[in-house]
Amino acid sequence: MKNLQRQLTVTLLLTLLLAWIFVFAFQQFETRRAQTGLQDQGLYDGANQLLTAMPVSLLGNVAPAERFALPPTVQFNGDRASFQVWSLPGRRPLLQSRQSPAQPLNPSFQDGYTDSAAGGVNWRVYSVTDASGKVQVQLAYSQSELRAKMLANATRGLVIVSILFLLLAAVTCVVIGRAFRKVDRAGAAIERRGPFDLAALPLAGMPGELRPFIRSINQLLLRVKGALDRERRFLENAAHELRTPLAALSAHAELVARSAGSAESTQAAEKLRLVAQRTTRIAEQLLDQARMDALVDSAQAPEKVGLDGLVALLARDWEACAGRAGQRLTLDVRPCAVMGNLDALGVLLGNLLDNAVRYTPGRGRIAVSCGPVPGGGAFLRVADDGPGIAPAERRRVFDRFYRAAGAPAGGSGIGLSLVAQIARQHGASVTVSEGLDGAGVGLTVAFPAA
Amino acid sequence: MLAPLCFSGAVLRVLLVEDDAMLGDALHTSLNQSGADAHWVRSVSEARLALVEHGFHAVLLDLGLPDGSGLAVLKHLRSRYDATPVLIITARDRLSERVQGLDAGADDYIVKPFQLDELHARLRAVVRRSSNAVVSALRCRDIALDPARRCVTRDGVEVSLSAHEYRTLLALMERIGHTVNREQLETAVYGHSAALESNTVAVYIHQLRRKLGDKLITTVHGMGYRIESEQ
Repeated sequence: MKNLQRQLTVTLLLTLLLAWIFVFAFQQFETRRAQTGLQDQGLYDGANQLLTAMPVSLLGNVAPAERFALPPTVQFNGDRASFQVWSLPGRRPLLQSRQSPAQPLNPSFQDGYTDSAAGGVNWRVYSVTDASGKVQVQLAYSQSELRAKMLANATRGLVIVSILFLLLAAVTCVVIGRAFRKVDRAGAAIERRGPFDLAALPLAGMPGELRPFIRSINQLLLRVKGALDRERRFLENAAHELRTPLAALSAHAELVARSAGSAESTQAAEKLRLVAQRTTRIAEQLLDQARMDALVDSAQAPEKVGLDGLVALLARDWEACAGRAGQRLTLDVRPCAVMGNLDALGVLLGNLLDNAVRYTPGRGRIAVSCGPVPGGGAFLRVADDGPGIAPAERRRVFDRFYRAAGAPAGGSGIGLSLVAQIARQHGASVTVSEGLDGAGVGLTVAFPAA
Repeated sequence: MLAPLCFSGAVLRVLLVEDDAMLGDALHTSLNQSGADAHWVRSVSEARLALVEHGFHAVLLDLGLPDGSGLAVLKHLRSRYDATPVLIITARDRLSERVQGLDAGADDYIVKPFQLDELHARLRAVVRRSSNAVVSALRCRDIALDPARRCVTRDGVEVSLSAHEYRTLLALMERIGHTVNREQLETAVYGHSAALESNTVAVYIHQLRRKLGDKLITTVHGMGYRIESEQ
């Protein structure tokens, strides 16, 4: 995920790290150069001093074997520095320091600086020959000594640099974190919102850079809200304005049927009434569908809805209809509640009932039950002993405009897709199974714990 | 032909509150054809006026009216302790409004579009129930039920009951000391115990126990329910 905060932190820290590495390396290089220069100067001075301090008589005599000893209090590591004095014509050693190797420190006997290995040690050697070209002084420092010194220096430097880097990194993280905390909080607040919470985002405390964004988002939210309100008003008006004239049509058709003289006109009037009824149902379902598509209902906060009361309430709507068809409608309700929208749940149950009443033949049975589920949640089940749905087709019943093969006329194929949609909105699952006594269809909606 | 509508042998006086001219006309005609005396008004204000002047036996109430909701008429009626039965004519999508109507004291509701014979049957049922209502308040322990005001109190504090809960309680209070079976209670709640086979009565009993205390209503297993007399 591209994250501005993480990107900024990582880039800053990487830049910092690179800068530190460069500075550290440069500093080490410079130190090393300075150290080498100092050491070379020391070698130069020492060798010249040695050469000028030696008596020329040294050439004539065999070097005396007897030497001075250091007082016992002095700590002296003779390995660190060595010198040799050679007689050039015979390449004969005249004088040398105690721990100096037997072979020449500078085997080439060239004047000037050179690096060599003698006696298993790496040396930095400065050689100087006297003006007459008879004697050469070779003065050397052990290289490993210098390297150890450099390493100690570098380690110390590295520790300091690392501590500083860690401190700086921590400060950077804290500063960036603080700068982004308000933005993070705003983001979390937006993510916590319900899908149709259209309240404006708070501007207070937001960094100036974000304010124009938040302002335009708020304006957008306002416009969406307006559009949704208009849509809801339109749909509600449309539903109401359609239903009332259809009720009037149905009632007038009945009046005609009652006063009509002949059987044919009675039948025609009854058909007219059925048409009105069917038109109403389809109009209702289309409008329900449009309303659910607009998700207008979920803009309201969910409330606690008693499923038992809802079943008792809605079963009344289908009771007369089922009674006329000779169907038996049985209710088995136990007190249970779900979180949701009353009207949406009403549409869900209404469509389940409508479906059952429509597809169950005369003298059939329809059982509606609801109750709590052990472990939280509630179930709602509408089962019948009608013709049922083949297992292969069961998945498709929730598709919009799907109608079972050989289904009687009158259905729109919207009902169950609407049921599935509303169930989804409530976090519930719908399953299709066998209905009563191994026949028919049973639709079970399982709601999560309220 | 529909069965005639009447009230204790007299002509049934019905107030029809419906703003749609076509539907109102059909309902008005069918009610009058069945021998009722229907008075048709088209707004909340007209309905209020009509309810002051005339004694109606029943009110047919549409909810979506031009000058407000039919619920306002219902609330106005009940606030004056007028127990005239009210049958709401509702659209199916206004479920929350329907629940509000029942909570506000409507006796029943019917969903548009409906068949006239069903409307008449429902109307007859609510009228019959109201004519059975006894006038004096019924008491048992700390519970008092006043049928004239449709008001239930516990220790003098009013308890809000839905229409169905109220009718269940009324049926039990009318027969204190006697067991009332499920069919009798269903008849009391719905006016008949027709095609619907249900245990909704058990749910209303559960709600009543929740609101009025566990000890009031006794379950008589296999028989029904009873409110014990105070001795």
